[in-house]
Order: sequence, then C-alpha cells, then structure tokens
Amino acid sequence: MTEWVPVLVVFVPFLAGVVQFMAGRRVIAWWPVLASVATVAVSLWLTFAVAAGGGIEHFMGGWQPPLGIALRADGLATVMILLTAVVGGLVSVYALEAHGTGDPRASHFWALWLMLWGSLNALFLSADLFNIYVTLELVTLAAIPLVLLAGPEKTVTAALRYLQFALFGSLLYLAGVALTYGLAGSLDLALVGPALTDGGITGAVAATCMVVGLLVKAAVFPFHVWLPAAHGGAPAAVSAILSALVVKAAVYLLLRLWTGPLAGLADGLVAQLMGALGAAAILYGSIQAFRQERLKLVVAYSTVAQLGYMLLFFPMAVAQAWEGAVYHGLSHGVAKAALFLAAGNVLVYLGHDRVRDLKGLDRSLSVSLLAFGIAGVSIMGLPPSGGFIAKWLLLRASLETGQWWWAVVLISGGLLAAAYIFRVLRYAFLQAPDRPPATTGPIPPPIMALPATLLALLAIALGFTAAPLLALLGGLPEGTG
Amino acid sequence: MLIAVLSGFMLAAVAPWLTRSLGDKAGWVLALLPALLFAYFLSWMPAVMHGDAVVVHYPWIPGLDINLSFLVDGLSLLFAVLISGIGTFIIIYAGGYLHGDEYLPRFFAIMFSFMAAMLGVVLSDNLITLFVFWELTSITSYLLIGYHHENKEARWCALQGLVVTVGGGLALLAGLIMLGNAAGSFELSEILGSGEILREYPLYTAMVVLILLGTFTKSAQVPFHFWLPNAMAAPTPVSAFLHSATMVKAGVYLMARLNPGLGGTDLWLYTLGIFGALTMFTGSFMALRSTGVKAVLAYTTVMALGTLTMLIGIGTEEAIIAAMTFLLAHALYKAALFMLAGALDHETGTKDILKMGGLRRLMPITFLTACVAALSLAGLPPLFGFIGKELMFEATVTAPALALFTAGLALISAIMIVAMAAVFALRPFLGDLKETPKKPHEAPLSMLIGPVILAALSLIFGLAGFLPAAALVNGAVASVYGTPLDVQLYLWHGFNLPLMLSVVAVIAGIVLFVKWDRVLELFARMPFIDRLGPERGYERIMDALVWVAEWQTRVLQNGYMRNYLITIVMTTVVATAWTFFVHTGQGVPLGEIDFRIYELVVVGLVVAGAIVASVTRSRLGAVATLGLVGFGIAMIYVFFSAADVGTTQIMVETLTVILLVLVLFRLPGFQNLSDTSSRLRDAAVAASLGGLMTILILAVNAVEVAEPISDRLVHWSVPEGFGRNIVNVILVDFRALDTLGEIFVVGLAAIGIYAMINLRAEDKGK
Repeated sequence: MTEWVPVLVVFVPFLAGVVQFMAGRRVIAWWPVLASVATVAVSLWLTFAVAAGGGIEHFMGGWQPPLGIALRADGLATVMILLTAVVGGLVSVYALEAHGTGDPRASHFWALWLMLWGSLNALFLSADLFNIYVTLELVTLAAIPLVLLAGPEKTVTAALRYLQFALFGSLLYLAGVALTYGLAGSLDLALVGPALTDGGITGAVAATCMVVGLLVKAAVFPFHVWLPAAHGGAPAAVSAILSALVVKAAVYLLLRLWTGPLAGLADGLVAQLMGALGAAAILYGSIQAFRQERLKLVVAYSTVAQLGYMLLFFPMAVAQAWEGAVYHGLSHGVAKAALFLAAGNVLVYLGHDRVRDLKGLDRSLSVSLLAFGIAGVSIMGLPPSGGFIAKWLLLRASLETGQWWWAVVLISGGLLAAAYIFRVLRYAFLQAPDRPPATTGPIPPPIMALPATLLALLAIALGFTAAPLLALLGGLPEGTG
Repeated sequence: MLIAVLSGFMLAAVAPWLTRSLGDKAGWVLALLPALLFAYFLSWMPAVMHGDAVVVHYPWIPGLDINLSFLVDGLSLLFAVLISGIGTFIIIYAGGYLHGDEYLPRFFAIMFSFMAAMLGVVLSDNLITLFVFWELTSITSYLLIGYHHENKEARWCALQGLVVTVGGGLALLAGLIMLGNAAGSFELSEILGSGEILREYPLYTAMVVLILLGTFTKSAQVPFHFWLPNAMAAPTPVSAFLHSATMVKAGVYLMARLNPGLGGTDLWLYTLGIFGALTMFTGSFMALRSTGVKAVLAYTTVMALGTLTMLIGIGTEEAIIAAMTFLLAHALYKAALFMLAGALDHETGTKDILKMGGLRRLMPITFLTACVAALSLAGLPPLFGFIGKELMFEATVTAPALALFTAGLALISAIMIVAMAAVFALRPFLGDLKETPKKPHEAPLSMLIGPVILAALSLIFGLAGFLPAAALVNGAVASVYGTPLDVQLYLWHGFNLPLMLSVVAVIAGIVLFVKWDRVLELFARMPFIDRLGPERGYERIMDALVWVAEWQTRVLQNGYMRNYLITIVMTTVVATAWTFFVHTGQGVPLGEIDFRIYELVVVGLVVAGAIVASVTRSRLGAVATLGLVGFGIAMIYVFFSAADVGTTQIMVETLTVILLVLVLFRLPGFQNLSDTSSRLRDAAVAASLGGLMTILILAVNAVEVAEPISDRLVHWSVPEGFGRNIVNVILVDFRALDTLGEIFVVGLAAIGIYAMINLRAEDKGK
C-alpha cells in the first residue's frame, strides 16, 4: 500500500482542485476544508512512511524507466512535501476566513490553490527530467492566476512579468532536457548522470541550460526583478504560498539536479559563481528590503535575500552545507509565510501597508505583530529559531571548507535582516499613536491571526527539532563535492 | 541552575499581570525574585571561592553540538551576584521611579527578560548558548533603551545601540565558531584548557579580531563608544543596570573569560592595551565636557570599560587582580550614582548640572550618599574605589609593555575623573538654591534604599578589604588568570609610585574642578571635536547603504521590460557561451553539413520572413511574415519525415495567425517609439542569442550521441503497449503522466484567463 502514497499525495489535492472548479460556489462551504485536511493527511502519511521505512518509489502505470516515469519520495522530497503540507495547511485556514464563502473569487482561489498544491507535490516527487518540466509549467500556470486574484488592474503588469520570466526559464530548461535526452536516451534522474558527465560539450551545455533556466524561475539575482511586484501585489495567502513554496520549488530542483545528474559536472568555478549569485541576492535583497515603503514589499524583497542562502550550498557542497541549505528552506518557508499573513492582517485592518504609517498597531493587532516579530527572529537567524540552526550549519560548513568569505556574507545578511525587520517593528510597536489610526477595515478575527502565530512559533520550534528532520532528510547524496 | 537562569523569562511572562494587580507595591514584590537569585548564587560561593569550577549540563540539540550547560566559577559567580544583587535594587527603584507610568507592566516584562538573558551570558558554558543569550541582551536592551518611544531621539538612539551591538554580535559568532573549531569543542570548560592549541591556530589573528569586534562593540570601546552615551535615552533604572553590572560589562566578561585561552600573546596585549587605554582617555575626556548628570556618568562608564579592557590586556597577576577589584568597585558606585542621578532628575525635573544648586538641605540623604559614591569613583580612601585605582596604577607601571603609555593615560584620565566626581557630588548640592522645573524634595524610600546600601558597601569593602577579597575577588581572579592567586586587598600599600600618582591625580583633579566653568567655555569654542567622532562614520555607512540601493534601482531595476529581457538574454548568452568555450577551447568543432537545394530554398524563405517581420511597419505584414516562418519550419519537419509533427505545427501556426489578426484591429495605430541607437542595441542582443544558438547547434551536431532510445521503444511498443504507432504508445502508455500534465497545463492556462476576464468584468460592473 505504501508505494501508492506518492500517487495520493499528488492526485488528492489536484483532483480536489478540479472538482472545486467544476462545482464552483456550490461546495465552497465544505469542500476546501475536506480537500485540505485530506491533503495534509496523505502528506503526513507519506512523511511517516518514509521516516519509518526509507524512500518510496512508484512507477506510473507500472512502466519502469527508461520507458516510463518514476515518482520517488526520498528524504529531500519528503521534507519539502512536509513543508508544503504545514505551510499549505495553515495558509488554508487563513484563506478560509480571508476569502470567505461569499466572495466570488473564493472558488477560483481554491481551485487554483489545490491544483498548485498537487503540482508542487508532483514536482517534488518526480524523478523524470521531462516530467519535472511539466510540473514546473503546472506550478507556474497555477501560480500566476492566483496573483491576479488581488484585482487584475493592480497586478496584471506584475503577473505578466512573472509569466514572461517563467516562460523564458521553462524554455531554457526544456532545451537542456532535450539535449540530455539525445545524449542519454533516458530522462530518469538516476540514469542520465553518466551520459551527462561523459557528454563533453553537449553535456555541459545541457547542464548550463537547465541550471540557468531554473535560476530564472527561482528569481535568483539578477533574475529577481519580477518577484517583488508579484509577491507583494498578490493577496496575503497567495503571497505566503508563492514566497514560502513556489520559488523554493525551483531552488529545490537546483539542489536535486546538482547533487544528482549533474554531480559529475560540478566545476569549482561554476560553484563559486552560483555562490556569488546567492551572496549578491542576500546583500542586495536585504538592502532593498530595508528601503521599501510598503510592508509587503519589505517581506517580498526579504524573499529575494533569503533564497540566496540556499545557493551558498553549491560552493561548499559538504554535508553540513547540504543540511544547512535545506533546513534554511524549511525555516524560511514557515517564517516567511507567517510574515506575509501578518502583513496581510495589517492590510486588512489599515487598508494600506505603508511602513511609515503603521503607528500604534500594538493594541489592535498585537497577535499579528507578535507573529511578525517572532518570525522575524528566524529570518534574522537569531537563536533559538530554525533560521539560526540553518545559518549555524552553513557557517560551520564555510569555515570547515576554508571558504570564510561566505561566512562574511552570512553574517552581514543576518545583520541586514535585523535592520529591515526592526525597522518595521519600530514603526509598528514602538510608536504610540498621536491619535487612533484612521482605520478603514475591521480588526482581523482571531482565526486570521492564529495561522500566522502558529507558523511563527513553528519557525522557533524548528530550532529544537533539527535532529529528527535532518535524519529524515538524510546525508548529502553520494558523488557530490 | 537551569531554573535560576530561566526564572527571569518565566516571571517576565506574568510580570505585566502581576504589576497591574499589585499596584503600588509591584516593585517591592517583584524584586523578591532577583533577591532570591542573589541568595542562591551566594550559596554557591563556598564551592568556587578557591578557584574551582562546576559544570551543570542539560542537552539541547545533541546532534549539532548544542547543549545547555552552565559553568559556575569565580568569574561567572561574581557577575551573577552583581546582576542579581544590583537587579534587586533596580527593580525596587524602578517601581518608584516609573510610578504610575502606563507602560510599567511591559517595562517589568522586558527588564526581567533582560536580566535572565544577562545571567545566561555569564553562566553559559556552551559558546552557542552564550551567543544566544548575548543577542537576547542586545534585543531586550534595545527595547529598554527605546522605552520612551514617543521620543524620536530615544528611538534613534536605541536603534543605533542595536545596530552596533548586533553587528558586533554577528562578528562574534564567526569568531566563536572559529574558536570552537580550533579547540575541537564548544564547551568553555574544555576550550579554556587548550590555550596552547588556540595560540598556535593558523587563523588565531582572524579569530581574535572577530571576537574582539563583538566585545568592543558591546563594551563600547573606541571607536564604537558612541552608542553608549546615546543609550542614556533609556529611563534611569535601565541606565543604572546597563552601565553598572550588565550589558556593557558583557564584553568585558567575555574578554576576561577567554583570557586564559586567548591571552598571553602580543596581539592580545597590544590590542586590548591600546584600545582600552584610548577608551579610558576618551571616556574621561568626554565626561569632562558634559553637563548632564547622566551624560557625565555614562562617559565615566566608558572610562571604566576602557580601564578593564586595558587591564585584561596587560594580563599580569597585578593587572588581573586590579581588573576584578576595579570591576566590583565600579559596579557598586556606578549603580548608586546612576540611581542618585535619577533621583535628582526625578525630583528637580532637569538633567543639567548647571541648572541645579543648593539641594543639600532639601535632599540631605541624596547628598550624603552621592558624596560617598563619588569618593569611590574618584578613588579616594577609605573607599573601595581607592583600592581599585591603586591596583590599577600599580598594574600599569609594572606592565610588560606599554607601561609608559598606559600609566600616562591612566593618570590623565584619573585627574579628569576626580574633577567630574567632584562636579557630580558637589555642584547640585552646594551654593545657592536654583529655580528648577519641579519643586525638589527628598526622593521616596524605594529610590534611596539601593544607592544607600550600595554606597555603604563601597565604604565597608574599602575598610575591610579582606571581605571582598576572600568572597568574590579571589575566585574571579583565579578564573581569569587561569591559576589561583593569593589576593590581599588593603587600603594602605606603603609609600610607592601608585600612591604618588594618586596624590597627583587628586590634587590636579581638584584644581580642574575649581576651573571647570572655564574649561567648559574653552570646549565651547572648539566645536570641531564633535565632527571628528566615529559617530559620523556610522551615519555615513547608513547613508551609503541607501545610496547604493538607489543607484542599483536606477541601473538594474528601472521597471522597463526591455531592460529585464536584456538582462535575462545576456546572462544566458554569457553563461552558455562561457561553458561552450571552456569545453571546446578556441576552435568550434563543426559537424558535417549535408543539405539539398530545396532545403536551402525553405531556409531562405524562413530567414527572409524573420527579417521582414522585424523591420516592417505594418502589423499585418509582421503577422503574415511570422506565419511564413512557421510554415517554413513545418516544411522542414516534413523533409525529415516527421509528417505528424509538421501537421501539428501547421495547425498551431494557422491558429496563431488567426488569433493575432483578430487582436490586431483592437490595438492603437503603429508608432515607432524607439530611437535608432536603442534599436541597434536590441538587434545586437537578439543577434548574440541567435548566433550563439547557431554555433551550439552546429557543435552539438558534431558530437557522437548515445545509442538511440528509439530502438528500445520500437522493441517494447507492441508486446507491452499493444500499439504500432510508437508516438501514441509513448503518449498514452509509457509517459501518460506527462500527457495528463500537459492537458492540465493548457487547462490551467484557460482557467487563469477565464478568471482574469471574469474578475475584470466584475470590477467594471462595480
């Protein structure tokens, strides 16, 4: 039975999304709840099955590679699915209230989000280069309409930019896949490695195309320009999903390919270059976040910066860097979702999110702001949060490999993060209002503050649960470094 | 021990509620906790007073070498006793000082968190736990300093303190990790024993510099001293606590703590000695220029921190004994003085010394206590401060290096400090009564009990030097020096050089006190001193950050899609071309090109179509020629016997052309908005991508490809898939998941467009 769990993890949310789209508003009161609970349940089932019995492999339709497509749930895929279940589940709770049952957009939201959830799970599980391309497209095309839900007038430009970047990235990736297929006669991740390694120039060009394509998708500096507008403009629940999960999916693929099929091609200079892009993203994204006038843009630029940390794995490529990069992905996922949901509550209450005008929110929005602060601790990488564990592992890796310059980047990144998070808190917490803020909206109900708080607390809790999660992840795949 | 450290956090959680329900008595009741802790730490005294150390162990994340373990020895206990003891009085004092303040509940919550974090810093055995608590003190003290958050300046000062100390904290983390790697352990109790290994470590210099960056920023050493006086913006109880026993002393604590492991090298001696002495001088010089009661005290704290750093750097037996004695003496008088300063400010309504006078009759207890504490600050017998200062002079004159430098600066600083101690203790109280914003009267009991007891202790410890020597200083010296020493503290050391220096300092200091008003006038005529401070550097860096960000926005992220496209395309071209040339060297291996004449004709048509489409001024013409390109490619498919792909291509092209033509009529008229140079630039970008792709295809064509998979597909198609059309078998059997996925890709695109149109119509409808 367990070998069918990966299929369930993909198809339960996906088909639930299809049903939601077909049935529309008639089932809006109960179907999303059922679908989310079921998805979380199967994701947890998969997690426990993998934790208990090791990786699970399923051949779609019984066709084994190289003919068919395999779904493989190894440690890396499983922790990402767990992250998606946790973040997705809590964001769904938020969305139930935020999108309500009366909003005509709710049906669109749930249909797209459930399909996106399934697509993400498929992307994490897929062990086939071309199938990964398909899942990338699914993720992109489900994510972009979600951005538009904030109102087409406001977000259409951002969404179209996102589309253009994403399509260009997909195209490049596809070119790399085509070259690989010609070279190896197979698309399975486990089988194409040797052919790529021996493929000379074709192998190298194929690898370059795939990596650059994924860098575009992952909004890595200098391809980040589409991200802030799209993530900052989307509805809060969507921003949380995009920043915590969707961009991370592309980084996940970079890690997956680099430690798998491309392991034999790894070149010291290229690895340093990837690290340099990550470092540029960290420094640049953080400075930009500090300068933003709108709260959601602060958080969106913070995503640009935080993604950079995961790229620092490439130049170091030791076990601690591997654990640190993935753990950073996890803790950033929960913390960033908390930040976006908290920012969403500010937006609901004030009707705007101008940082300078966040005066005296500490009474009416105390829970949301507390969540923002706690999640900020993890973003800054301060102990005892998950972000700290991740940075700690990366720091140790940088010193262990003698590449102290990444340690400098890690440390300055933490400092800059402290600067932009505290800037927000300074305005929100420490400034007593001259007069009560001119509110235009209601105080968000507790059910909207709760998911952000839980996510923020999870970001802290990750500081204490590193051991079982890293055990589930498993060590650095062999043949890397 | 775990409970002792964490109880502060627990009380912090309920403190707001307790404060509200206890009302006026809140300060007194809440002070029970630090008082209990004080008693608890005192009970540890016998265990460590002879230089022994006890490690208490609790695991946190075992797999990653992160443990909760506490190291109790003379040094940590000295600090723990000071933190809890002075903390007790501070809490009582705060209850009186901030009486009726609406934020008082929150204040107590942060204060207890801060106290617990500080205890954690000094008691942690594990470097990482230590760092955790270290950063917690930065953050909680930021909240304490920014307490008067209505005040813009207070917020700015708090942020400055945070940026400086957190920044230093991050450098410290890197240094601590290097330290742990070098020693092979993250437990202080093990690291301190491996001093030999540490001093031989290849990265010793980098490690020490990083750690010192952390301690110097925290302990306000030159050139980072500017944040500390600004932190006076905090309410006085906070200042008293931060300056006497906590926060700024954390840096001194860490230097003292690591002295047995890292000390004893020239780098350590010269860095700490020079920076410490300069800080000592700067602090006392700035104190001389100040007229605010709290400013004077804040700068004397800078002086004290410099002195301690310098003494730890010198590192001889005399120096370490002097450091620990000075530390204890400073904590006692500084806490008392700050609380008295708060009382003056609270009762008169002004902080400016020049505006106070004649208060001796109205505030007699305050006056008397101030005199005793100030005598200790000035280093006069029979106060404990005198012993500290004598030992300090002795340590500087016997220092193995820098003796003249440190002794000279110590003397000059001592002169200025004597003058300022006199200013603080005498100016507000003697002379005629001056008009003040509030009508002054004696401060309440809660605000006097702390200063009185602490000042009394200064006196008792001075008269009976064996008391602190046996109980506190002895154990601390053993921890810092590495081996136990016999510490004897007396007022009278005989006629020697240190005593002469003391006498000179006192006499010159009194002269300076008498002429103080003249000195102030002199400084007023030299405004350039302010402009030279490192604070300008801090502001410059902050400005530079903003400038860099603005510059990049103009250049990289200017909002134009065409620039973004150029970025993507050129990055791709450079990355691919680079890979390509790395692998092929200079030459391009070209495959054999074999073509027939009708292929040439079709290719010619495609190229012509592409060129016309990009230069034509007619939209319809562009669509038509693009169609030509598409149909030409379909023809090429057919030539290579992929008839079904060709058919698909033709259908797609037809549909595209029809759709484009339908949309064209809704667009505004054709306009040429780009000038020639930008069109040439676009052409160059496009040509580089096209050219690269051409070379790549030619080169890839030359490479031997693996055994074609089609053979295997042919082999398996009929027996396994029951189909003779291999493409169909692939699509619906072997790789059915991809087909399903692609169907949904198209479906999702449709849903997206549908949603967009729907929403748009709705928005218009409103």
